[in-house]
Amino acid sequence: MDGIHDVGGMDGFGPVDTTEHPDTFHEPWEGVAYATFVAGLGSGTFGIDAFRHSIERMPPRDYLDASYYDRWVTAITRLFVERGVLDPDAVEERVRAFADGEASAPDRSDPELLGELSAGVNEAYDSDASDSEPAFDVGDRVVVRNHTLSGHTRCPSYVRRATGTVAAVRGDHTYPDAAAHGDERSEPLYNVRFDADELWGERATSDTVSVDLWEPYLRPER
Amino acid sequence: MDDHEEATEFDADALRREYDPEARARALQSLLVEKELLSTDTVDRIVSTYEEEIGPLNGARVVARAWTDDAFRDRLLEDGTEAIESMDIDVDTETMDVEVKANDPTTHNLVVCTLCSCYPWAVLGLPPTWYKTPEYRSRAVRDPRGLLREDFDLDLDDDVEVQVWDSTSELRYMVLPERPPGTEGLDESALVEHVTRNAMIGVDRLGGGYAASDGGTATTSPDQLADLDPDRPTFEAPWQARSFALAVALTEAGPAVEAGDGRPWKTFQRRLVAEIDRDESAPYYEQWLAALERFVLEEGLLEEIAVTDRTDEFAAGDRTAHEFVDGDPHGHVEGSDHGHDHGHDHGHH
Repeated sequence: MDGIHDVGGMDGFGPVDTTEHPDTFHEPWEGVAYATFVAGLGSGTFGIDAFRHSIERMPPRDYLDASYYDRWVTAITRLFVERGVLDPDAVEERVRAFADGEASAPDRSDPELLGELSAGVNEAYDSDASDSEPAFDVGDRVVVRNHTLSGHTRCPSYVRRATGTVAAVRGDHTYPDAAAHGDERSEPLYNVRFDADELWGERATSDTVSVDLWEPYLRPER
Repeated sequence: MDDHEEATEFDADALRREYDPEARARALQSLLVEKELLSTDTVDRIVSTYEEEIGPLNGARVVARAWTDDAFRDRLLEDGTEAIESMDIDVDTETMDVEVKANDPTTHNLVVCTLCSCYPWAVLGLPPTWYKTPEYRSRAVRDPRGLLREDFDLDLDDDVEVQVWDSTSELRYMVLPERPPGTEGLDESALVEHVTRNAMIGVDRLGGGYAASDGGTATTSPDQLADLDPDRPTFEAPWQARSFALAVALTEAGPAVEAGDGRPWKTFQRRLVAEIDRDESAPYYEQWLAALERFVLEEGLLEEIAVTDRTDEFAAGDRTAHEFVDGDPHGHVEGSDHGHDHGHDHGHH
């Protein structure tokens, strides 16, 4: 999808706030958010691609307004409900209760659980090998297709229609555009190098931009 | 769009607009605990893994080894994951591979994930907040020089090529910075402290190829310093040792640092590189001392008039090195006359 998340090359965001934070998680709830992500992956409720897509599905204003882990909480909540693990009314009720200060997290211990979740996380990354030979070799000139489907993709819009050179052939990798929507297949992945002026003309101050792109995104230069 | 997305009327975005993230995170946590998909100890262990166990020290160790072991460096650039794992750093290859990109005098690498926040967390820990912002993600690919100059105080020379790596897959990138000048004598474990996390992302540069903050240009390579004769003593005069010690005390380990008033090592190092470039033929410790003088003045640690006046006093023999020796009866006594009335004749030392 051509979502707001696809910001490569976009103007106008302003200076980077480079303030260093001493803690990985600025607030305890952010660490909790991370744990719910592990629970989602580890239980097989959703995979990494569907997770990213759930963030991308936030409307632009909400996406830009939210902090990083707020996007996670929003995306994860959406998925747990959509996938039928959590009941939407239960979620709304519980959120309200916590917001009103009337709830607290139950205390439960389960020493085996983390190991089970970790194994589940690894399984979530599995995919079937593709059945074809890679179409491209190192050195091939390739053009990025104008790839504008409505679902998840890892093809940034700034490389669409651009011509680059295959710098590395990376083998089969889970194809996110399919995996995000339940089709666990893989496709050959390539590192493609672009001259920056091919992407943005004279205004670019980078010299080259290299992007890992799946074979369905590419066609040979004619 | 798949079946799941159309099935529910639940609007997670509307819920977000109504309730803050903490309430929603806690609600998720409590519901998932009830469903036995989480537990209190599991949450604690996950949080402590990312807060305490993984972090950029692993990456720094990898870099330090690459700086001191050419065969390892070659392996690292050939197969980053394999080389990193050989150092007992766990890269969960089910979920991530790491590729390492080397800087050199005319190449600067920069890592970004424009679409989200992909990062080599197995070697660097979780990414810094700024890495995950649209501000960084948008600009890094198109205007890295402006980004580095304005937001990271790194002004790359025109002849340095900037190569940007947009992390779109589970293959993650890490930069192998150049070994900084002035570290020749250090072993692998000491070098670890000279590696910055920002240099491994590419928003910091440890070699030359950028403008020092006083406007000089630092293009010297470490090879120049390798020409120093290893059979000569490190310091040929006490003033050299003092100059070295002062730079270290002000940046690494001294009362100023303990009081929170120290400066990062690189703020000295940049000036050293600039001095070497300014006058390549000057003896190393003269370059060092010149850099130290610029450093203390430009960092506001000393006033120029105080330095000039005190230099004159030493040059005139009104003060001498005796005052640096504990208990030396010839040492200067603060507050007394600067004339020749100390009770005995110093002459000119």
